[in-house]
Amino acid sequence: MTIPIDLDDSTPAPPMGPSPLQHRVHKALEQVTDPEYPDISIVDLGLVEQVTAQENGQVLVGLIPTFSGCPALAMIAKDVQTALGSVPGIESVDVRWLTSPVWSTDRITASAKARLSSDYTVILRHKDGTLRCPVCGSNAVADQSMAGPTRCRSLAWCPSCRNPVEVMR
Amino acid sequence: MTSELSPAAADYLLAFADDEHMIGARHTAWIGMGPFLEEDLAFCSIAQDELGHAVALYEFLTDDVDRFALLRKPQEYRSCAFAELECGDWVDALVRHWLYDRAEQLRWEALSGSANQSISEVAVRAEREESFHRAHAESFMSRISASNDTSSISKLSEAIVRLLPVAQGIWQPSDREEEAIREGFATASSASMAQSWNSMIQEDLLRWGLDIDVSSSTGALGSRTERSQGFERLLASLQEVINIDPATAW
Repeated sequence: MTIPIDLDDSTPAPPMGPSPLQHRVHKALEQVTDPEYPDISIVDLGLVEQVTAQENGQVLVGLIPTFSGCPALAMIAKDVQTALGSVPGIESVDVRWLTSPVWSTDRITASAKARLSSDYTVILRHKDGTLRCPVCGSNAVADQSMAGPTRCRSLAWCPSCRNPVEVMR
Repeated sequence: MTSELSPAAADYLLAFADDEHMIGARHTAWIGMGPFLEEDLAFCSIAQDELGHAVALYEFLTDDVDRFALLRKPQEYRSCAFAELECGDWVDALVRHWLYDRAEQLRWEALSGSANQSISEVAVRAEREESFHRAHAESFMSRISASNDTSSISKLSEAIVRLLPVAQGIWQPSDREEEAIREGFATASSASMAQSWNSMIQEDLLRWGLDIDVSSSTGALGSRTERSQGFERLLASLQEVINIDPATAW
């Protein structure tokens, strides 16, 4: 049975509901955090695309990378293996990096976006292109460099409170 | 994830994968050496993408990407001399990055229409990542060209004229390219992509006001079976870490 993970918090649960094993796998995955953001789960960042748990305890987890060259991929896959290794009822875990769909910041949940902003001063661009400062709330944050400390973030700066800000992309 | 590829398709991917690996490795030379911090970061990110693309392609060819990428004999690589080239000057690295990434765009487009769904998906994702590379090249090429600094502009122009003939080597096809196209694995020949590439870079040059005629640049395609000067030294440096313990899981 394959049930896509709900990426949108507001989506109602499917009428049939996940199997107990599927549910435990999902709960365990919520505990796997991104090495870059140690309090944000890979589920909330939209990296988990597919979870298949069979009756016989075989589990397949399909993940998608933020970028092809992300150096954390092996670490994340290993963390998933470890987290699922202690879940009762699981016989084997196959973790795969999928080639489709392509990850985008739209896959990040609203609560993870809020935590990125409050805990890491990492923000997302609004639909109208503006950037809101995670420190002082000003909407005047200006792009500084399209290259940031990692491939998935660019550099910006708030002229109002003079803080550096990073933008997920 | 080795999938069932025909020998022609595997040859086709190997040439592209090795190009991506070598250009990525060469770009990493600018980490800590770029003209300013943000440019250091930009070349890091671009290099990271190219190495990630190389891995994605190598995964079609082997189950042990590290060994395959790093521990082949020099004569087993199929990269072109342009990707292998050591750029000692940042302006050469910039020009090479622009010319290479224009070509890369066409190469991913040719694979995104592949009959092989897996490679098509890899190509779509990679091509999306490449837009950052082109924006980076554009921002510097356009700004240097528009500056009042004639010595910088002539240095840039000189680098373009010198590197254009070497860049043609990207379009040296793999041995059985025609077969890979007949099979539907690839959708464009190197010769047709070379034509599109010539027009693209000529348009770029016109937009930047640089008076260089791409059609007058004649370069030999070169060979993908012979390695360029400096390759062995590059390979030796890439092997330094894995050779500490080739059997371990890094």
